[in-house]
Amino acid sequence: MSAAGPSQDANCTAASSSRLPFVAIACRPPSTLADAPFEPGLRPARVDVPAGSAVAAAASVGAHHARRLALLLLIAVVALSPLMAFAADAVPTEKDPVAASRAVKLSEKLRCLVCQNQTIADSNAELAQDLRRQIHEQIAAGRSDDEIVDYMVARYGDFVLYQPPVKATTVLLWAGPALLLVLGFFGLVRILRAHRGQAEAPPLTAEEHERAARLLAGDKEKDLS
Amino acid sequence: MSKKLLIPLGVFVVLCAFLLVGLWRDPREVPSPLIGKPAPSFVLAQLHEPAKTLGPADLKGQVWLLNVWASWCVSCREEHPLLVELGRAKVVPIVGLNYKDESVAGKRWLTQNGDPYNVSVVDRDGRVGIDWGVYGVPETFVVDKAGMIRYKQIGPITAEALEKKILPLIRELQKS
Repeated sequence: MSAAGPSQDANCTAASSSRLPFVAIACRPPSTLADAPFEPGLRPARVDVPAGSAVAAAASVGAHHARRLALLLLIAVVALSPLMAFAADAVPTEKDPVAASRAVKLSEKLRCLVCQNQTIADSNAELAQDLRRQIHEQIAAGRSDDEIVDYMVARYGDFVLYQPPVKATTVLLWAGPALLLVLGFFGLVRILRAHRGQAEAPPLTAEEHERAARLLAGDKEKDLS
Repeated sequence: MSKKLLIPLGVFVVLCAFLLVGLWRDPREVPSPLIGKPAPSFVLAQLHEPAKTLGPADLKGQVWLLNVWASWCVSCREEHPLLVELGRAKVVPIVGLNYKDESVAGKRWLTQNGDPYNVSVVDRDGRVGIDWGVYGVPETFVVDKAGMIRYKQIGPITAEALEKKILPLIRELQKS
């Protein structure tokens, strides 16, 4: 859920299609804009339309003043477009605020498999929209959060969860950081102990005491010998 | 060289080994949890004869392929000649899942590019796709006689995957 959601998503699609051996993973049906059920409101792509037509009108008139007005309009529209994008991202479809917040929480826990570093709440990929629709419908049907998560895992595997479950195969993943911390702590203790031995200087001999006393008394010349 | 210096070197070598393995793995290929599980059921209208339906239940007792395709899908074109060839060889029934597509566009696409499918069914809103764990197009599933999913190809079928994995698996499954 961020203002940058849709534009990030566009980047993601472009990046993945150039990197992928199979482009269509990033493919979307051509109807993306037309029938997106959960994203009413304006998208940045549509912002061009009013601004473009205003510029065209200004050119036909040819007046300097009109052109400047069009420019101002363009700047205003571009400057406001992040707000519009945010509005498009945040519109809940439920009337019930509890169900809406549950849907948002759930979709923030689940990974979009098309744009893999985005949750399905963030992504505007077609699949993320479909999965958000599934969540809304299942909440409306009275399913619990766990049931909905299980439904997703049964279809897309543990990878769909942003927080991987604790299992035999993921123990190292979960325990790894703590393990490293403990190892690092013991390593640090060992190093510090080794250094403490060195840092403690041996006590001064009688000769050194004498020399120190001479130095402190300011008798430098004798010390040079 | 002292033993102490060997420790960071060892850590470095292990790290390099992990990164090297990572280079050859595709993070987009998410293993499907459905492999070895019963194929999710559906009853969908057929693309060419919308009055008729088809589902996995109708195909029990034979090995079959489910190929997810769409007319808007670019890399479906890449695998399509292989599918047409496979369809012509009549090795295995191929069911097309026309995913989130307009039926008119889908039919036109098949007329232009060849129709390798015994039947194509229409998944207009992608719900069956979700049940099958589809997250991109094309994807292809091998289903055995008992109706279990045995293999999933993510992305276009390549000649190599067809010869080394899919066809041998189909032959093996047909024997049993």
